[in-house]
Amino acid sequence: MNSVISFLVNDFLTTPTLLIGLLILLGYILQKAGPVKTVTGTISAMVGLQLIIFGGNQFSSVFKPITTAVCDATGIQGYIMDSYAMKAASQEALGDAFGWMAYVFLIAFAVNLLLVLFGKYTKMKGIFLTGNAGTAHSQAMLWLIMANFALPSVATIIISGILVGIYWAVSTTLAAGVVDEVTDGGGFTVGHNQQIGIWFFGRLAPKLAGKKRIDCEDMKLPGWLAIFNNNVASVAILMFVFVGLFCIPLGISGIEELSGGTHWLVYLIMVGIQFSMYMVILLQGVRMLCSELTASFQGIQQKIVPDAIPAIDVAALLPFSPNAATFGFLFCTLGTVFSMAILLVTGSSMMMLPGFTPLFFSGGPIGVVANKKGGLRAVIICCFLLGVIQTFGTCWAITQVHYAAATGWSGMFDLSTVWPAVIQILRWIGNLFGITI
Amino acid sequence: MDGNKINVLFVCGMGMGTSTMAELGVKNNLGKLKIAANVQHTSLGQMESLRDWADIIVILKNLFSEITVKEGEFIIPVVNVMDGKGIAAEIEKIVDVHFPQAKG
Repeated sequence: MNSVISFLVNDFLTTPTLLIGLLILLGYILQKAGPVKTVTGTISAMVGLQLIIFGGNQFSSVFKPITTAVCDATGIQGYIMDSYAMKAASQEALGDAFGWMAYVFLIAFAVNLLLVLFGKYTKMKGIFLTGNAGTAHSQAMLWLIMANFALPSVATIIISGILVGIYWAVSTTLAAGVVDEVTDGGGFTVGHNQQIGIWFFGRLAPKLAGKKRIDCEDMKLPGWLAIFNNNVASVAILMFVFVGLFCIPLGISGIEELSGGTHWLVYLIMVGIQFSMYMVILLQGVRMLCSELTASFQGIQQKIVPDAIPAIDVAALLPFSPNAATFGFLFCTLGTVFSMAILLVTGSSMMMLPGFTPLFFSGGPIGVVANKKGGLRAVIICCFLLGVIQTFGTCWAITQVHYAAATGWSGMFDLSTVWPAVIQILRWIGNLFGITI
Repeated sequence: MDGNKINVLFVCGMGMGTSTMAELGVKNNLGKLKIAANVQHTSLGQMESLRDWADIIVILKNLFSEITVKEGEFIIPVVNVMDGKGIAAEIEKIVDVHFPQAKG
C-alpha cells in the first residue's frame, strides 16, 4: 500500500502532464461525458500539454545561445516580450511544480464566479473564459509568488489562484463599458492580457481627439501591411528583424561562431523560421488543451451566472475596425522600437525584443478603442504610448521574476503595469512578515 | 462533406480564443436549426492546411481581405463573433441552396 501511495505522490502527480490529465479526466466524469469522449478528450488534452511543453522548451533553446553570446560580448541581457515566451519561461522555471497551475486555474475561476455571483455587493460582471490566456496567467502568477515569497506550497497555490481570480473579475468588468461601446452592444467584454489597458486608453483617447477628427476606417492602407495579419509569417519576420538587430554587437564573425559555421544570414533567417515553427507547435498544443476548457467553462458560467458578461479573447475587437487595428499595431511597434533605442542609449543592462503578441494583440485592439473614442490622432498617440509603457513595464516585471536563465515575459499591457505593481505591494507587505525573498 | 455533415472552419488571428468562441456559439445554433456539421478552428497562417476540408469558412472580417476566394468556396466574413445566431443563419442560407442533405 505504501509503495502505491509513494508511486502516486512521488512519481505520478509530480509529472505535470499526468496531474493535469487527471484533473481533466475528473472534469469529463463530472460532466458525464460518456466513456469515448472521456478517454479521447483526456488523452488529446495531455498530448496538447506535451506539445506546449515541447514547443516552449524549443522556443527557449533557440533564444538562449543568442542571448548568452550577446550578454558575454556586451553585458546586455536580452528578453523576449511575448505571451508565448512567458509561457515557455515560466513552465521551465516551475519544473515539476508546473502541474500546480491547474489548481491555480480552477481556484481563479471559482473566485471569479463567486465575485460575480455576489455582484450585488462586488459590482463584478465579467467572467473570464479565454483558456489560452488563463492558463498563462495561472502559471505566471504561480511562478511570481514562488519566486518572491517563502510560503508553503498550498498557500502559494491558493494565493496565486485568488490573485488571478480577482484580476479576471476586476479587469474584465472595467473593460466592459468601453467594449460595449466599440462593439455597439456586442454582448461581451475582453478577457485577455490588456483589458485594463483598454479601459485606461478608452478614458485617455477622447482627450486626444484634436479638432479635426479623422476615422481610420476612411483611410486607405498600403496592401503589404496585410502580411502582419498572418501569425505564421509575422512571427518569422519580427523575430528575424529583432534578433538580427540584437546580434549586431556580435559582428558577422560572432554570429557565425554561434551558428557553428553556417553563413550569418542563413542562420538568422532560420532563427526566424524556427521561432515561428515552435510557435505553431505551441499553438496546436494550446488548441488541443484549451478548446474543451473554454467550452466547459462557458457551460458552467451559463448555468451559475447566466447574466454575467462573457469575457473573451481580444481579437474579437479587431473586425469592428480593421484599419484602426493595423494602425494600432504600427504605432505600438514604433513606440516599442523607440523604447528599445532609449534602453540602448542609456546603457541599460536589459534589452527587450518584442514578439508578435504584444504588438498585434495589444496594439491592434487599443487602436480600435482609440479610433472609436478619438480618431486617428488618438490612435497614434495612445498606441505609441502603449509601446513605451509595455517595454519599460516589462523591464520592471523582469526584475521580479528571478529566472535562473533568461527568456522573457509577456509584454502585454496588464502584465507590465498592474501585475508588477501588485507584486511590488505584496513584497512590501511580505517584508513585514519576513517572507519576501 | 463527411456523410451528410457539412464541415465548417472558423478562422481568427491566432486560431485560439476568438475562433473557439465563434465555434461554440455557432455549433449550438446549428443544432437548433437541425444542421449536421463538423466544426474546427485555426489561425489565418495555418488555414491553408484545412481549406480543402472545409465546406464553409467563417472568418473575422478584418482577415477577410487577406484571402482570395476560390471557385465553389463559401466564405462568411464576421464582425461580432458572439453573434452565434446570426452566423448560423448565414450558414443556413448556404446549406439550403448548396448542401440540403445536411439538414435533418
